[in-house]
Amino acid sequence: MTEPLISLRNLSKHFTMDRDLLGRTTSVLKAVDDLSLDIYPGETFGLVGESGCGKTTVGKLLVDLYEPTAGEIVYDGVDLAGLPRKERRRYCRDIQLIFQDPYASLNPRMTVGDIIAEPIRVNRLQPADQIDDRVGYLLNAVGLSANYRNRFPHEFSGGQRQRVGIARALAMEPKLIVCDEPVSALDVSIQAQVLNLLDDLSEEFGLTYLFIAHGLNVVKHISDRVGVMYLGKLVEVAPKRELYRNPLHPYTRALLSAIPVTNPAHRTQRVLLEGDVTSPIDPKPGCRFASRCYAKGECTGCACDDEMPPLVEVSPGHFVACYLHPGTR
Amino acid sequence: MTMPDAMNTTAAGSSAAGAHAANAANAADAAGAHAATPSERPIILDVKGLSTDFVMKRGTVHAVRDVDFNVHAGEVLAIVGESGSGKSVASLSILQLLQAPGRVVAGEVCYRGRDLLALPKREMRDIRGNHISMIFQEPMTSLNPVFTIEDQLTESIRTHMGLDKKAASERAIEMLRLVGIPSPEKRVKEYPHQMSGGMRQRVMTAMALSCDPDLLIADEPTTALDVTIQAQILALLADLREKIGMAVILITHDLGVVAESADRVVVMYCGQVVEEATAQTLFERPLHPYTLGLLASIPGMEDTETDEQLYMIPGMVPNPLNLPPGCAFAPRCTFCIEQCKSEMPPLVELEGGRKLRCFVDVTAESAGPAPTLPDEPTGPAPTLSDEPTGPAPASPVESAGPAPTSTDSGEASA
Repeated sequence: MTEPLISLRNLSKHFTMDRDLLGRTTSVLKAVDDLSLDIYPGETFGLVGESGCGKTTVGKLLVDLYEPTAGEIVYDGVDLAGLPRKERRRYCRDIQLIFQDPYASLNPRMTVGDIIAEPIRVNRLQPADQIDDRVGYLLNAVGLSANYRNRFPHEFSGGQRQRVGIARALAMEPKLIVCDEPVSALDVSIQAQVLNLLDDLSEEFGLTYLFIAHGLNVVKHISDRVGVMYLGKLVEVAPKRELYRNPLHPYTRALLSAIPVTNPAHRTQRVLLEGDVTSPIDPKPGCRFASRCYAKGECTGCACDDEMPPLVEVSPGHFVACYLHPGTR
Repeated sequence: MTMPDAMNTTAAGSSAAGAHAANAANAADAAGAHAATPSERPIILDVKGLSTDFVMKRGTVHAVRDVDFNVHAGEVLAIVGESGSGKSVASLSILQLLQAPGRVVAGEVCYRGRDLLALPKREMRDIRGNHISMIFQEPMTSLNPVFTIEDQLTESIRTHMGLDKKAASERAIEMLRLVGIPSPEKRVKEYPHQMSGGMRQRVMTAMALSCDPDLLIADEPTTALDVTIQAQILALLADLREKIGMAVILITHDLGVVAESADRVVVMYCGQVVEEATAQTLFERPLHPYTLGLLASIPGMEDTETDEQLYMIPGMVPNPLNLPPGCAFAPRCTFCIEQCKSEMPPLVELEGGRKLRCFVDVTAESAGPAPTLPDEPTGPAPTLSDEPTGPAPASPVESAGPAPTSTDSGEASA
């Protein structure tokens, strides 16, 4: 097997919610908790989970918008988390982010050309006289006319703005792009256009994606492998087909059953989860999913309430963290 | 759940107020609802020729253009379309909640025989929230941040049901319990910011349902929510419809949600109805190119074995200030013929209550786009004829489909 492009090892990000009089932490939000993950070159890794499960935090840790509380981010043989900030920036050029909201992530006072040129200028990636050509090339690459460079973001529709965001990420010649719900703010017909564009670009530029989404249906189309997150933990990781055909974790099954059908004749009884996502603040010991788990009674003698099950490989490439599977016990 | 109690409270409330004739009728409909199919029940809302304009400095946007649809008692009607298709404006027009510069310029909205557009403000206020209520799109912005959930819920209960403060508060707690909020006695004292998105959506739902409406308009009720919460809310709406027998207009851009819960579907594009059909027939045999495109471009519906590209509808929704002269979808349509560019296709009623606004028979050559049409008069000729089955696509076997005129193309697609 090839070497992973980037490895997250026991990565954690905790936020302090409350301190006592002496400044000691009394309450902690564990956004990402002891998470390990490898992403291989050229693949699209889909990261799925509900809001508040920490998937965006993982993305932000990768692009150095957050500093991890513990753990390593190994890229190119170097632990980025251990480097001083200045040196880290050199590596972080290779990892770029596409934001969720195309309306909020572009500066309304800058022209589209300036927005795309800024990272090139700041990082001195091109001689000044070639920046213009590069911007035109990038605009064409994302399916926009190079003449649009002098327009402002408000003149574009949501789908076009998202293309500008993609061009801006491409400007850095990244190896890995973290796509944080890039299509969830878009209409269905535009979603398809942007997803296809991302697909084309990955071939053209040899990109690797970490694709973050809250539903399994978008990820199903674009990903090679999928990881399901729940409250800061990965609960299942598997190649796409394996995951959709043979979901093992009760939470994955619930997510799959929440995908709306396309044929009214196939309306089925769903696995409905009770309640909301539990709060990640001061989580109880035991499986994070235990409070909403409908399969909890199925195994006897499981330590669901006492200890988080470890993520173990139950078949090649298929990892699951649930005591229902003999390998985890 | 405690629905019988809730019904009792309502009955008591309405006899006290003495102004709940429609709710009584509603209950009668509900009783008959299980016997008849949705289309056989009485029509409670009939929208005819509704047009809404926004007059602005830059020009006039015809946000809703001559829209017709009706809702039967106890039925779920889905209105589907992308942003800017006029689906939300249509629903706001029904309730007369439009803000300037929006204005209804033509049409009528008949609710149980009364034209809502002609009603005086006072009477309209009695209908809103009481007989027809609405769940707004964004649960984050539609609740008032400076009032408790109780304040906001009891306001409409007290106004419409004439209950005193204590009874209204009990009813509010009852409703919160009904929508599945745990420990409602405690949550009712909280402010909106103390609740999660899903909880706020439930509060909105509770508010809309608190006066046992006859018709609920749900504008993107699940768009801002996580998939698992979305499934919960949809299940809740289906459950409540069964129990109270209310009709629902479900406004959404998500065809998955439609497939999940609608009886009938109206597809809108650029302010017009382009197709109307029962959910079953629409998903099995979409006839309008736009519907075809929408269905094909939903991600995650295709077989996992294929890694083909998603279908995309080329181009973008046209600028509403500058709509094409003919069919609004023509510039993006792969089936477009010359006539489409200059002439607006009429909305034609086909067999089985289906309606379609298209000159072209998309089922004729399912193999490829832009079918070449034969010039023979019996075929799906692209001529505007006045007969009801006019540009009806020659259609094969299905009885629910349009008029079966036998042509080569019909046989080909069969």
